[in-house]
Amino acid sequence: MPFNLPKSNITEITLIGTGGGYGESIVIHLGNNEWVIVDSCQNPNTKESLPLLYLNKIGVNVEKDVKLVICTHWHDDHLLGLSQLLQVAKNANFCFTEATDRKKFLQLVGLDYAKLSREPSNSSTTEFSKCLEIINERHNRIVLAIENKTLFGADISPNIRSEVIALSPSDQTILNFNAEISSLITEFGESRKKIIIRTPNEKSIAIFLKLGVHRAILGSDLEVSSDPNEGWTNVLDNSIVIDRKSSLFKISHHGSENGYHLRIWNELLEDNPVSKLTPWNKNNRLPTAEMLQLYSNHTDKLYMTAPIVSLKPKKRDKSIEKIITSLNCKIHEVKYAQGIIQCRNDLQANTEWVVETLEGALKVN
Amino acid sequence: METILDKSWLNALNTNGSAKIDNDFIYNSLQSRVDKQKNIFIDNSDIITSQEFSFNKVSEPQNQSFFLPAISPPYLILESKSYFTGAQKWIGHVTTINEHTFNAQLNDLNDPTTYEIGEFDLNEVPPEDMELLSVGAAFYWSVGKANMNGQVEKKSLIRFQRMKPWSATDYDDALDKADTLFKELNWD
Repeated sequence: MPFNLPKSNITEITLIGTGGGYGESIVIHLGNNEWVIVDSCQNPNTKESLPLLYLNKIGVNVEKDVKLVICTHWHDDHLLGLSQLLQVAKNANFCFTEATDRKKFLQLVGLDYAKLSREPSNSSTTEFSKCLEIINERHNRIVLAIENKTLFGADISPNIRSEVIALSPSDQTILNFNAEISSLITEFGESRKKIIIRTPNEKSIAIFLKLGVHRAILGSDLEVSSDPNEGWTNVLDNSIVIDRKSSLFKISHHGSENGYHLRIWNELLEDNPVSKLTPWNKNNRLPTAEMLQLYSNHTDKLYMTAPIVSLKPKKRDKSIEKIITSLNCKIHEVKYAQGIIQCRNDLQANTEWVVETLEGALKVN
Repeated sequence: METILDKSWLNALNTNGSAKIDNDFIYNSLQSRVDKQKNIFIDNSDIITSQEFSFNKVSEPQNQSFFLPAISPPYLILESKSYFTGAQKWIGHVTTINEHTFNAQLNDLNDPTTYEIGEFDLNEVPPEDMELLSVGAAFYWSVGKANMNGQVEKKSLIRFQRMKPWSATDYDDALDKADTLFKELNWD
């Protein structure tokens, strides 16, 4: 029975993903009803936060038991619905990437928010700003993520501890981000134009989980950078928190080529780890068939939250469809599909993960 | 609703009490009212997205009456030249710009659920909007039927978003709020 509350000695890492680029979220049970949520995504039809729906479905007391909500980076597909979740999770602290000059970072957010609030907006800035307002009203803590920092820890029992540790962003990335914030404020520009953060993936928070005897890596959208002091290369060369290999891996950046590094599989992961990913199906599709094959060579426990579907025109009233067709307009709908990959294990026993694929999720190989 | 003529009459009474109608006032007021309506139609209307009206201002009549209707021919003549009936409307955000085309993420304003990806030719952008085309820029896209002096054609219209420019006050307000938030947040 997958839609039930795990027992206090059972850990859970569940990936909730969507097929069309509508986002992904991860819910983590550290044990003893302590939950951490990583990112959020939203059903575009109902506007409901998907991790919140899942938590309610399995019977989690979201208000009391969610202890930390992490925003790994500033992309719509990882942020939408986060404020809805935080609104309910009254006990949760809020975590996002460190910025050297915090005041300047808030100024950038504030400026963009003021622009966007002139019209209804579903953007990541609006969502992020709402999260800050909620946390501020409650005086809950802001936890800033930087490589090798423990974001949250819980003693589940006298000899079991669970921890959530950031693997990124690196010091170098944060320094570069600081310079970027300055230039974005300077070139703030016209009121109608959204501020675009360059390469938010480089600032992603990749996470190392210590869950009793188990280890897991959540790759977020972290990429392999050309700078060895950033991205995955920095994690591989400089991380001091990885104490042993992981048996579960959330593949980074939708299984893309620039999120892949052979050394991750050789040095950070056990043989045949449980591996899961959320596809991306917007103007380009991820993962490609070649990358899927590559991942399948590393593990036979490869899972995807939803299939990659072809882009087709949206169904509309016939008269409108006729007009669009006659004008040769090239538009395609990004279809919404949802899947859940639930992984549970005993915190104290060196056992295999019990994996359930729910709704549209599938095992690839 | 107060008519333009009523306003003019009140103004006249308030100034010197004499029966004097200001034709310029009527003309300018009516034109600005129509311009305002035009902008409202363009921005909000599901049915009509642009109209063109023209007024012919004729020479001042010698004898005026307070009790003329708001639009009183032959002083002001309203002529409708063409109109557009929008069947479907989107707001788009430019994602990439190529040599001859640009791509955008489109949010359907008639059905704001799943989004769409569109590819447009650069020559679909009105010349006066070309300077507004950039990655991140927002635009309205409507498809429908246009009546051009009686001839009905299917049309696609793109119009980039124009917003009131930022003032120093707007900018300072946003920064002040950020500074307050910085002091109030419970940082790690």
